[in-house]
Amino acid sequence: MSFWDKMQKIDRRIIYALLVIVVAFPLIRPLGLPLSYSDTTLKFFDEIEKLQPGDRVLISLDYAPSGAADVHPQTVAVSKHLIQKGVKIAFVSFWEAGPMFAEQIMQPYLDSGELVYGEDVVNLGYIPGANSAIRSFGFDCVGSAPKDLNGKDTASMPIMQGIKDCRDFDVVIDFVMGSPGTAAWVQQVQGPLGINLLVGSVVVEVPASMPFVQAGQVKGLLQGLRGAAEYELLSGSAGIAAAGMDAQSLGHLLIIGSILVGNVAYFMSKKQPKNNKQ
Amino acid sequence: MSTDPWIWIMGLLMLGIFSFLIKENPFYRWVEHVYVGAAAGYGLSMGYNNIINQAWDPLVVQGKLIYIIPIILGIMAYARFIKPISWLSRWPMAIISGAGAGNALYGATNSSLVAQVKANLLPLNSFNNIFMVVGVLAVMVYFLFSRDQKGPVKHFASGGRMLLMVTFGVSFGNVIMGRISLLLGALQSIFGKWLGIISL
Repeated sequence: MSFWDKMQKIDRRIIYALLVIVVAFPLIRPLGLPLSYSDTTLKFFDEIEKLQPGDRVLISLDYAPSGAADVHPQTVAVSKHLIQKGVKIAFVSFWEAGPMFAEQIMQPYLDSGELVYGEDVVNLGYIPGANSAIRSFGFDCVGSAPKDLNGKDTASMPIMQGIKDCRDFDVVIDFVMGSPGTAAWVQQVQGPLGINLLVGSVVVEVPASMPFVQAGQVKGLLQGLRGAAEYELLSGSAGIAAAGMDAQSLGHLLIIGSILVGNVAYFMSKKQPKNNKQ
Repeated sequence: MSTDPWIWIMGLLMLGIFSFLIKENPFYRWVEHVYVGAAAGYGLSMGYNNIINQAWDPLVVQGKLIYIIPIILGIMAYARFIKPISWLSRWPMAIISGAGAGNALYGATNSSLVAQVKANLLPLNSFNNIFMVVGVLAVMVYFLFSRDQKGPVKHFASGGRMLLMVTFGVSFGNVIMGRISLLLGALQSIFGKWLGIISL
């Protein structure tokens, strides 16, 4: 077996091990590689910056633990920024695991007394029904979520006073990893009601969301963990996402290198029989 | 290193899942079953909460009688488990399908067709705009099957195919980026929350 044949048949476990080493190393010893801001993140940040203390934002948590590593840091960074600005947040979810992530974000602020439940923040829980549920909630928020996650009446909560439909929120943000998600929010709520919609998405979903950004239906887009890192730096509170950017860059380099080696090996091994004949 | 037993369980379960990379083994299968069971249990509790909050309370506590209709339809969906009356389950399914299709049709036409066409009616005064409009037309021509693709049409369609290839490449790149993020999240949990080697 020639060198190029061997290069094509590297044991996958060696590649896995290399990837783990390459990703783990900068976590332990950060390299401080530079990070630029994408246009969609800047637009997202600008929309949040326009909000005033007392404004209300709806955050729809449409993701599960399997994609949380890519999108949850976005939710954490944006929620932190909103809370610092004195903006009130209503969490809702059209994915079963969503309420759990809302609890994770709210609890430290509630424990420290920084936020008052029902006044500054509420967890409206999970509403089943995918696209139909999103439409129903979009047009009648309190009617579609009469009780919060803990069974308390939402109609009597100060944060929900005056909220009839999603237009009454100053901004609606959808953090999403699949369907129902961005398309459903755009088709069922943003289109008919013209809400101010921002999206934070797992990076795999970005190509599907881009047409909505291009058309102005989505005002800003955070793209995966990188989007979270950019937002953390813009809002001045570098966190878990920014810390992982070196590791992500090195991981990409390894994958690019593997693709190049694989392709070069393929073409070289195709050439070899000719060379042998000569 | 963490002293929280739940963090230890998290770390060990993560290692169990990662052990699949070496080869399938009983530890991996056990962790997989734990994950499926936990997710099913969580889903069950959320479903129970929803029945109480969205059906039982409005009907029984608030006396909203209109809720009887969806509740009966919901119960009818379970008729599929009783053979003599299993046909009853088709009614709620038909309503769900019909309402879903109606919603999707309206939303897709309005937001994914009309709005997207509008967004592509751009003034041809910059390279980006020209590239965008020509690119959309080229991809659409590639999917034009009602006539043979010969001559200039073939070249134009080939351009559309190239653009599609670039798009698939972008999607593939995004998938890699997403998967590395997931690995990164897992390693941050192992090295940070569990072993305490890095600060989070």
